[in-house]
Amino acid sequence: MKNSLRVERAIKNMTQADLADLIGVSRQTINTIESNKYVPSTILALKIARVFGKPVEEVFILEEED
Amino acid sequence: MKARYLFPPVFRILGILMAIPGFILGYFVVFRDYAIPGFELHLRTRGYLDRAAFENFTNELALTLVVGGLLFIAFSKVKREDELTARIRLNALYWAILTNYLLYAAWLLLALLNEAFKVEFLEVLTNKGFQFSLDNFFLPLAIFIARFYYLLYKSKNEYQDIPLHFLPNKPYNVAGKLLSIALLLPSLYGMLDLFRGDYFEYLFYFMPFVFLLWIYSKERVEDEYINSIRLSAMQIAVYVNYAILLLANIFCYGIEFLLVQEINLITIPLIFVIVFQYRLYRLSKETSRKSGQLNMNIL
Repeated sequence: MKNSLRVERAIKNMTQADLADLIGVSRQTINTIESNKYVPSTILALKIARVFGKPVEEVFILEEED
Repeated sequence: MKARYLFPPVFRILGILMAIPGFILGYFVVFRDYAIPGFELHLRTRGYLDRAAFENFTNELALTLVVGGLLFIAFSKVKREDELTARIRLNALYWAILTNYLLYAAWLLLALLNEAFKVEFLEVLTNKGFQFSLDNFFLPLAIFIARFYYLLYKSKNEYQDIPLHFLPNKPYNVAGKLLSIALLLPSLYGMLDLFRGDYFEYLFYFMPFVFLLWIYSKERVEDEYINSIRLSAMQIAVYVNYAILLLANIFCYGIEFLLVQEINLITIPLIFVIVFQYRLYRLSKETSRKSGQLNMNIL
């Protein structure tokens, strides 16, 4: 699975720390998700998508091998 | 995965303040035979072979400080606790228990070599101050703490989420279950020397490995949810294990405590399989009941 967190953050002009504070996780967790090393839970994915005002499929995208 | 059953972050500092003096005191108790003068109870008028007239509580105090302190350090929340830190914590715990028993395997091998060949160097390593059952009180916690904080703080910007690997279900899980159940009672009998056999008591020392086969191989159906049940069962097993140990530390003395110390070798795996299998059983019952209801509704 890949994600467009970095791009979405850039559009909203938001740092990793800003996003982390909004959804109540640590900055490192956001970074670990952005570098595709951690697949967040559905709850966390939905919270992130809500911050960006987009459906979750636009932020998290399944890949061939998933 | 939500973090559950954890202490508030401030307990980590409390833990450090307990563990350090505990280790220092423990060092003096084990290696220098130190006992705090007067810190004792007069239990009976005269001592027997296995019952002392006076019970000094210095070693109990050291053990309580070390184990309690390490528990607080290990299981207090990090400053910003979230699902990833919770997951890393439980992964690290599962990893630490395995590593603990691999170290035990190495120790056992050395001890057996010593038993067979009587090498002086091995004698020192396996008998004096390196008694594994003694280390086993705090080694799982110490390994876990090292692993957990390494994964959290190795890189400043991200956490290391390293997935656990399990052995395939067949033949390992099946073999582990059959052997564990078949050998548990004989090995306990052997340890208590009820058979009066010469070599039977050794069986107990190999029990952890039989349990490990069970614990570190996949269930027939292993998915994300089963995995989370597995990890939280290990957390409960570690809690119960140390709760028993701390209680025994206060209420059991002499030979009784030696017995607890021996059984302690398998308590974590034993409690784990009980909790884990019970939860799987409850899950399967719930699922079959619900699907039964669903079928009724369709009809």
